[in-house]
Amino acid sequence: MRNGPVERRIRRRSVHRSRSTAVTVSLTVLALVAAWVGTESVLRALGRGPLLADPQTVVDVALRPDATATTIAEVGAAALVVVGVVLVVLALGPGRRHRSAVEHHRGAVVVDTRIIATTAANAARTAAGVPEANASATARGRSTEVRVVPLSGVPVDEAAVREAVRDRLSSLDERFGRRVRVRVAEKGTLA
Amino acid sequence: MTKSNRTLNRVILLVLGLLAVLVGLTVGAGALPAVRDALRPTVTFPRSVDVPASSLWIVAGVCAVVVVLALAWAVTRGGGGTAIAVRERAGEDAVTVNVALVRDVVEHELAGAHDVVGTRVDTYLVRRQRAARIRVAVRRGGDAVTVLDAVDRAVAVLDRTLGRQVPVLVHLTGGTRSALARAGRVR
Repeated sequence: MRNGPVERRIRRRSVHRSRSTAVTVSLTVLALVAAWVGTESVLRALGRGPLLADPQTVVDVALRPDATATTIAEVGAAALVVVGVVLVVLALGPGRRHRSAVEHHRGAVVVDTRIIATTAANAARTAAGVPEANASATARGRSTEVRVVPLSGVPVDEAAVREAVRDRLSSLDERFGRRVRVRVAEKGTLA
Repeated sequence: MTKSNRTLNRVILLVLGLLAVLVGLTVGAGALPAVRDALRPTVTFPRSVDVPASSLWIVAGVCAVVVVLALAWAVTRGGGGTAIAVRERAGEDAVTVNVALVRDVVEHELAGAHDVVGTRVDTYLVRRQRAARIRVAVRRGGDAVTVLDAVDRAVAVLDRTLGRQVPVLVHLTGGTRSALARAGRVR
C-alpha cells in the first residue's frame, strides 16, 4: 500500500481497539484504593479514628484471621484474580475490531465486516435475480459465505452467483474474493 | 485516531493485571487455614507486628504519588481532535480551513449517493499533520463498491477545493441509522 505514514497509522489504529477505557477505569480504581490506604495511614499517624479500619487492625487481622476475615479475604482475592486475568487478556490480545483495511489508491480505507457481507449479499442477489430478503451473507476475516433462497420454479446458477460475488468483492479488495462459499437453499419461496 | 500511546496503555494493563493476579493469589492462599498450617514448619509468622508511625507517612506519601500518577494518565487519554482541517502559513499571515468546510463538501457530494444513509466527518492532528476521518454509513443490503466510488469522487472534489491532498481515513460502517433505513425498492 503506498499511503503516507499518517494514513498507515490511522488505518492501523482504526482496525485495532484502543485500551483507553480499560486503562482509565483500572487506574481510577487504583487511585481510589491508594487514596483510601493513604487516608487511613494519615488518620492513624495523627491519632484520629479510622474510616473503615486502621492499618494496625488490618495487620493484626491478617496475622490471625477469624472466620469472617477469611471469607472476606477469599472473596476479594477471587475477584482480584478474575479482574487481573481480564486485564492481562486485554493487554496481550490482538484487540482487532470487526473491520478490515482495504487497498486503495487514495486515502486509508477501512470497511466493517458487516458491510463486506452486505456487499456480497448484494452481488449474489443481483446475479441470482432474487429479492433482497432472499440473499444473505456472513463474512469472517477473509472468507465469505452467501446463502441464497431461490424463487420457486426459478433455478439459481450457483457457479454464476459465486463468480459474481467473487468479482464484486475483488473490486473492493482482491483478498476478499478468494474464499467465497455459496449455499443455495433446497426449498424456494413464492415471489 | 486519538494520540494516546497504545503500547504504554497495553503495558499498564499488563502490569496492573499481573499485580492483581499476584496479590489475589497471595491473599487468597494466605487466608486459607490449610495453607497456613502447611507453611508453619518453614515460615514463622510473628504473633503481632506493631505498625511504626514513620512507615505510616511513607505509605501515605507513596499512595499520594500513585493517586497523582494514575489520575494524570487517566485524564490525558483521548485528545487529538481538532477543528482546523488545514493551516497554511505565509510569513506573518496564516490561513486556516475549518472542519465545517470539509464536512459540507463531503456531505454535499455524498448526499444523493446510492446506498449512503449518513456521513460524519471530523479532523485529527496525527503526528503533527492534520487528517480527516470520513465515516460513511452504508444502507443495509447496500453495495460497498459503489459507495467507495462515490466517496472517491467526493474526496477528489475535496482535494480540488482545498488545493491539496490531506490524509483521509474512509470508514464504511453500518450503525443504527443503516439498520433502520428502508431497503431500496424501485431501481
